[in-house]
Amino acid sequence: MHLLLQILVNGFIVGSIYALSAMGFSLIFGTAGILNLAHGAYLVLAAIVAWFFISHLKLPLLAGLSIGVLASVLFSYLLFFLVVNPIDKSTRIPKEEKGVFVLTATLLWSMIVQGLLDYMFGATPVIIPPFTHGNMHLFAIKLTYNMLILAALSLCIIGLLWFFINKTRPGKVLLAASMSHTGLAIMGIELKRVHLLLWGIYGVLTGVSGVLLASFLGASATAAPELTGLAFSIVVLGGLGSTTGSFFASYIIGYLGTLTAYLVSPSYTSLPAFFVLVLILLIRPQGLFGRF
Amino acid sequence: MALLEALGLSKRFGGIRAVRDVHFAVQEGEIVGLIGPNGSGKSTLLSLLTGVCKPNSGSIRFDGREIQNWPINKRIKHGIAIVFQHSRPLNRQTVLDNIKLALLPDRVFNIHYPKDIEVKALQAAKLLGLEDVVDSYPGSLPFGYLRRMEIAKALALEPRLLLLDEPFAGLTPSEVGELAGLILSAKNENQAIVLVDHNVKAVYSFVNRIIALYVGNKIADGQPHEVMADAEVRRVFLGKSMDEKAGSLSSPAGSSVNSNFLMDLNIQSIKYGKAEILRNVAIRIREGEFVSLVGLNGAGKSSLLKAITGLVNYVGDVKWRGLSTKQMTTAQIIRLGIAFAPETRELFRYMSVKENLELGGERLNRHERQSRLDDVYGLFPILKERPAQPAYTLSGGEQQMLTIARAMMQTPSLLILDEPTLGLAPVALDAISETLSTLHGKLGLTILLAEQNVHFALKHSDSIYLLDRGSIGWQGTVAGFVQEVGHKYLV
Amino acid sequence: MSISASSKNLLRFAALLLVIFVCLPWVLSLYIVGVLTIAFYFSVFTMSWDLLFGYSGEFNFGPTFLIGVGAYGAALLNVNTSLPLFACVLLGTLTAVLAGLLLVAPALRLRGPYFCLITLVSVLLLGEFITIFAQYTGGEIGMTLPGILSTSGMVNYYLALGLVCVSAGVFLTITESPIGLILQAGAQDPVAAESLGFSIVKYKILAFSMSAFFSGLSGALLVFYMGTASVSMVVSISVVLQIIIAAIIGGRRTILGPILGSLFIIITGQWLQYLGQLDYVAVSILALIILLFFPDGIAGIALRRR
Repeated sequence: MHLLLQILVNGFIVGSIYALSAMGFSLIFGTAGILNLAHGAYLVLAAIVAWFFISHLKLPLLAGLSIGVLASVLFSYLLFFLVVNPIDKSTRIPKEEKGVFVLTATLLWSMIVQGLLDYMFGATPVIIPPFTHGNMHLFAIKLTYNMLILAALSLCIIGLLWFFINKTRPGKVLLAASMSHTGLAIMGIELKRVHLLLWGIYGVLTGVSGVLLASFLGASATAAPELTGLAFSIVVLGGLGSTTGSFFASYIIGYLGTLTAYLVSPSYTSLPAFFVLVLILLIRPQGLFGRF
Repeated sequence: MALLEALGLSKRFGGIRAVRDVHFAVQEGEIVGLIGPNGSGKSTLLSLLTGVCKPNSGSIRFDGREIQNWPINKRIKHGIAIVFQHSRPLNRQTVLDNIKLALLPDRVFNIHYPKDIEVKALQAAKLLGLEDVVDSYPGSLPFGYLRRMEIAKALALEPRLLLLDEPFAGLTPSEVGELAGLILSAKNENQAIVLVDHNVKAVYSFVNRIIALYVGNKIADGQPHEVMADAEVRRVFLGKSMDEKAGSLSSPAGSSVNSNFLMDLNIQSIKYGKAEILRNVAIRIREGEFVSLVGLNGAGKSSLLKAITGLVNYVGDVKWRGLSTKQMTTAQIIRLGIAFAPETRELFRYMSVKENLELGGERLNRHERQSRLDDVYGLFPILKERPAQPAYTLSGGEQQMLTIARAMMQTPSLLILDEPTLGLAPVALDAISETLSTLHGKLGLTILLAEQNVHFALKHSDSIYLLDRGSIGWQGTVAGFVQEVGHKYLV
Repeated sequence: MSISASSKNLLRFAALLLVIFVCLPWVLSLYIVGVLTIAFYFSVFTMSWDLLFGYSGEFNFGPTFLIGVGAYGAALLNVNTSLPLFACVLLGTLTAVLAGLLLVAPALRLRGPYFCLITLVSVLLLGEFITIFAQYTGGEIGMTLPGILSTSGMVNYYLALGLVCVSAGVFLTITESPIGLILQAGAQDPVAAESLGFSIVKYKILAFSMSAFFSGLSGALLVFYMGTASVSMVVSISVVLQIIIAAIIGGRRTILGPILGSLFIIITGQWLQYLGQLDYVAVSILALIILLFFPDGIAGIALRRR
């Protein structure tokens, strides 16, 4: 019985952090039409950079975490300026093939980032120290205060994001961008600025979820492709283009992974997610809430 | 039994009911034309017949069998052939190869070309007068030949029913005559043809029967001369009758045009790939003027407006108050004080009416935006009634209103409108008309309008530019238009 | 049937390449001959990819799923049964085709990024499976195989070259035939192709099956050439990238261009080995630059195919 409760709790925490990460991924897809295959690499990048500053350079926790997030933001902008934007503006690549070229380019970028991380920091997983020590014993399950903070932070940020997108002016501009780029241009709104905002937010969301994930489960460069695959599973299950879908799908995938880890083995965690992805693509490609 | 029957066909897209309960039948060997103003549902109706989309209700019977849910290729296999308006040929293959494609059987193990394919392809080419160009590449041929090639491909399938989507679009009057003649001689007596086209005159002389659509409803069905004499058809196509109009077709009262040039446009060329869409267009717009661009579909009106607003590339320059806008982005051009209501509207579909309008005022501070919003609600009471409604659920007329209202939120010096009357019911059309009169007459707004509905354009304009296949065929005042060119366009 | 000018060009190009390749082993060191052998097997991977992308318009993100199944299928049979080598290879190949049709082909009837996604995930899944069943597959380290094609460098070279010729021959026959025409029409404008009566999915599945067959076959033969089967050689994402990059560098929609691209990637990979772990990074950076500035590739420019 307490195993079930433990799974419920852990699954919820993992699901919440996944949801935060999926929000960013979904946002980039919905607004810029890009499936960022370097997503997993960015999650890991933020985690490893943060860990480095905290463990090796002995920076205080929050400062280290912020630097990790900053790294994610920096690399997001690099991806935009060096890869995505040039392809978009390129006259050498035919219009119909641009999407596919961007996809390949993000995959290449992912290899570059992952390769550099692997080279500089090795493949051993790193764990970020918790926010606070101590735990609660609730119904004989293990529940650290850190876990509570992670879940709470994730949900808070998601809430803030929701508020930003739906209730603030710059947020609504982003939302509008996912519906019509031309529409925004004819409102006199420079699309470049929209993209800068978009990638910045993506960097923050991904960076934060990366460090949170590392705080709970640890992170390593080799896990990057797997994490990208998980992000895919989530957004496809939820439905491409629907952030609400991604939100709920995150929990489904989170629970599947936790169940597998506890009932079968921790090394098989991401397997069910991939199965789900394949099943969905074969049976119901538009996912739960998809607009496609 | 009729070859093709449509029974109670209906199709809606979100809030827009494109086809409403349409019934009609086509007999073997008949040539039927579907006509209607832009947005009347004729293209959607053709899409239902071709299989590009499926109806929400109703059925289509071909040879007695219900086909409305069949995929496109199944329809082809049962004797229907289609020519789309915007088909792209295989540019790396010759004309003959392109035609051969149509003659290939749908067999996966097609390692060899069938023995008689070359002969059959040549025959099909000859039917449409293409025997001299069979070895040329599509990229080197004029547009009229490409159109013929597409029709040759369709006829090579020896269909019982041929569906043509705007076969005469983009052709010169003489090319239209030529093509019509070729199709008539190529077709055998058992083959039926259903075609859709904007060019009513061309359709009129080509078909056995006309079906007229308006706002999704069938309003007439019969012999060409009967249909064109039908009162409702005339009203719908021409606005009010010619006699009533004659008096009011002069410069609208109260338009004060001063001599400052707001916009000076000199476009040498606009190209989409190899096709030259527009050539040597020079237009000047003075402050307070109402300028209309009229012309058939495909004449280049939309392309011109997109060039002005920086959405497509062009050779030449567009000057705003003397300042060149060539290197500016769309957003920069808009910020100069130019507002644009595009043909595709570009509304933010899932956002509400109010949110769409507020985005129009995005560059203003909260106070100014609210006051501007109140002004706009005043101009467009329809929108005031439903601020929270998502844009995609609005009717066609309401969506058009929203598009213009959103543009007006920017307090522009120039308002550019691309085909605002697209698919609008008479009531909505009158409302738009009134709005434009207010904006131009009372508020003195400079307006550039592109319209296929010539009467609508004439009612409001100070000057007219007639675009014909990419260049200016005529320009001048409204009165001059009626006198010199009117007979061609005012049926 | 008349052969078009561009097809004649293609054939001349192919003949030239063949002559050069046949003569090369007599003038090069055995080491380079070995590298070229690997490059040839790799070429079959990239040509298969080009059939799918260049002609059918489907971007395959997981060619190594097919390659891996073929390779590991054959390897497992070789280690665990006493079947003769060619039987292992054949069965491995057929398993690849079957697996591909079951898992991936259904996505061909969908429009949108779904084919891309499912192919990418299939590779990740295969990788996971191999790791999980490490006791059978050797996991990350890989398996050593008792079976081997030949101990002679020259024999191996010509064997691989033979495979390249056969597969190129099959692919070119398809692309220059009516099937190729229909595939291209379907890739360019599916609705227009449907309106000529073609059920485009059928042809895509044919192309996919061909691609699966030769990828699996080449994968199986490769592991028997190398004597080992490992994830990093035939399954991992980095191999996927190398294939895609080689095909694009070589020139997509040419079938023969990818051969050149493969040579480029494999040879450059050898040079960059001294960078150690960073060699993947270096190739990726190089590939990114080529992607951005020379998207038509070598053969694309040489053959002037649009």
